[in-house]
Amino acid sequence: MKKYFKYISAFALVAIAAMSLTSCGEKSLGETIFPDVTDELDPNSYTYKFDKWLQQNYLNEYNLDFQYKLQDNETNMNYNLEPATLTNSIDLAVLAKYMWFDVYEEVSGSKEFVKMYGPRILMLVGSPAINPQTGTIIVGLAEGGIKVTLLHVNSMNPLNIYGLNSDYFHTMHHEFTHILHQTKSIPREFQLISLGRYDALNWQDRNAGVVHSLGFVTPYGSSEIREDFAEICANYITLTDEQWARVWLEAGRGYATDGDEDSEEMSNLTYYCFYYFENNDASTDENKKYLGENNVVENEDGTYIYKNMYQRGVAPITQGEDGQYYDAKGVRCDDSGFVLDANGNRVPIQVFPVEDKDGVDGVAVLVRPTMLPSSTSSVSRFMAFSNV
Amino acid sequence: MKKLFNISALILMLSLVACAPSEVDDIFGESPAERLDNAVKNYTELLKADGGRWLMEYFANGDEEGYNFIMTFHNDGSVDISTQNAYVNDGAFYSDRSLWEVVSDYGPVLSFNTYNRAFHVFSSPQSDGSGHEGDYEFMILGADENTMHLRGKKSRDKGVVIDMVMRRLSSTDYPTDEDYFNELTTVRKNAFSDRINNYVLTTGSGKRYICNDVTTMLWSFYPEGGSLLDNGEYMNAIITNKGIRFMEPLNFLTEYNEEDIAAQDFEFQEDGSLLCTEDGVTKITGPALADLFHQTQLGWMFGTAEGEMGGQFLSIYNAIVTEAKAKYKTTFNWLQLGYDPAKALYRLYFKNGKYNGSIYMTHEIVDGNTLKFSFDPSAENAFDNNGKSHYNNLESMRAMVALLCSTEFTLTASHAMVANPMTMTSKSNSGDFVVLKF
Repeated sequence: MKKYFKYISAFALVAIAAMSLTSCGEKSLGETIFPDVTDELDPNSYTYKFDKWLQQNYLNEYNLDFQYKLQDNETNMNYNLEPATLTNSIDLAVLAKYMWFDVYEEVSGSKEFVKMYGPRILMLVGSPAINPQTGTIIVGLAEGGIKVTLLHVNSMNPLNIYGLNSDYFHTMHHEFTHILHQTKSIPREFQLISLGRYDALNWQDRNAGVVHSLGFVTPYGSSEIREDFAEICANYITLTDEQWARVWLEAGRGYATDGDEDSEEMSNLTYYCFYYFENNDASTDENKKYLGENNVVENEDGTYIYKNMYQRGVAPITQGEDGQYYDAKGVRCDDSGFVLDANGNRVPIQVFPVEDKDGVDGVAVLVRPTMLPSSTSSVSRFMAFSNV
Repeated sequence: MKKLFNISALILMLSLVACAPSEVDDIFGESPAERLDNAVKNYTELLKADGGRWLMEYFANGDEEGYNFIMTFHNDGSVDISTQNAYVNDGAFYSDRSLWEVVSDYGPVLSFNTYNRAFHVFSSPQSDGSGHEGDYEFMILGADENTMHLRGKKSRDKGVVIDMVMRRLSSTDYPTDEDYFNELTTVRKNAFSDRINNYVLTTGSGKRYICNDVTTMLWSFYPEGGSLLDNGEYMNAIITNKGIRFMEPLNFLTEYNEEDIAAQDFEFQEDGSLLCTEDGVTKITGPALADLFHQTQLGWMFGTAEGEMGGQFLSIYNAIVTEAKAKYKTTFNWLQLGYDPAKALYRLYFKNGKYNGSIYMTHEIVDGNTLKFSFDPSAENAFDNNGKSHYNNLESMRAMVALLCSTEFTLTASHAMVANPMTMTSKSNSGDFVVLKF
């Protein structure tokens, strides 16, 4: 009996426990604890006209919240940041609409593209976000596929088209591209193109020409795949033909520095694409001197010479019995010691391009023909520049 | 078996408790969200009320002085902020308009959310990313009709508590913002002197602390008899037209005194001293007058204007002027008591149109306000060349030295913080006095 009672008790225990877990009835949620909040604009507000314009042009059109009033909790607290000025916020709101949203609408043929892939929040910050450790500056951010932050707004000069293009429109298209790939993944093929050549930690120290020759459009683009992708799109839209031509030109060159590439001050190194031999003596590397492109002239036959510089004879220069001047090696010179050719003209200093040793065909990588659908106009533009 | 029964009973009781109605009466009568919403509305109205003009005593961080901002909160959501400090408009008065809002965040938060050139410089990054680290969003800790207590929000998130105060500013006393800053400039100029070292904080129990760096508002303290190196404490402060407020209470006073001393706010008294408003007894003054006289960086000029000398001081000084004119054919310019850094000696220093010279006298601090001079003309360093010549050739110069060495002198001053001028009066004859100025 005792044994049965034990079983009965155990059953009762389980039953009570089950009841205790299930017997609490479902409760009604009741009314919200939050007070009613109106989204109607106050006509007496200092910013009523601007807020109305934002409502009409961003909120109603794109379901986009244009946040020009900064709140700390919307930012990275590790940075010192300032809010945007109201004046620049108004200017940027209009410019972003005209130079970004309206352009995308015009190119895509409707608002749907921006509605589908565009941000839902556009936030302005007056200052850039500067990392005191690396010195890198953040001028734009894209988060979660919905929010774009444009920083550095207080430095904007609406009358400086070049500054607007490089500092603000570039950022808009860059961040839009992030929002886009946060919604639609970057094609796998793209991710493989420059794999192994990214440098997430030291990109800021990389030279622009050097990264062009590696197939990146900017040093920042060489930091990681998604930045590479965003930089290509942003630069494709905002660079002028001349600027693109420059990128292509530099992408085809080799680079060398006479500084120490292993030093921690990489950002201070100067890179050169050309060199010549002092005294025209190529017998030793010590005579090899690098020079910048501005000092180089390309001949019709594709060779290069040092602009306005001529070979000097080896001292001493002496006058021969024929009345002509000769250097120590018996080469004919003028009375100033410059070597003369058979026609009596000074001989230019020959310049050589630095050999491209990075193992990357920068131009080919920049074109990335495998990635670009042949039906898009971008192909023709990329290909056109590839022939520069 | 009994154990099993007990467990069953316990579970049964718990199940009954668990099923009891969990709703409790709301002791506030409103939901938390409604209360926060009401607080936001109430603080918004408070800020705008009575013209909406407030003085903010702002600290950007713990390493620099506090700054005054006058803020006028308008009904349309705009705010006029004016200031006068070294970081804005090259130190000249400046005012700018931007937006403000009380938002629901960490409770009600006062936010200055568009850039104001008078204010946000303390939040901006410098070219290397560093900066003043100042807040532009403030948690509202509480308020009454004329005072609002704030805490920097971003600083707090970084683990640094910076509490600030806003006080309603009267338009009657200061019709324009510039009026306030003009007065503040005057107050600041007169309240302290950067030529005076060793101000003194005295607690109710009589313990004294030496204070320095007061004009920069980056105060340092050490107990009298101690040293800055061994016992130094530091606290930044803000000066207003009423007094000074340290960024935090001077808790080290409690630590050293083993008694509870709350000292953060100090108000100027009529004599220029600062009295702690919290305990009503802790006081800050200048150094004792004899100590001040003794400070090596100061030279005390004899006042020569009418009424600045009396008795023998006046007659002997006039005799020096006359004798110097007769003997050296030049105008006597001044007399000074002070320190010669070249010889590391105190001296009676004079200058006329042709010469200056020193007669090296010593002095003794008898007590806080009493001095006694002495001079030995046979001592090795009694004079420099001009001093010796004037001492030997001018009877009146010898008389002045004799007067100074004849008795003890009492020092008095009307300003407790900046004792400039102070009056030195003979203890033997109160009619013999001279006003000394640095």
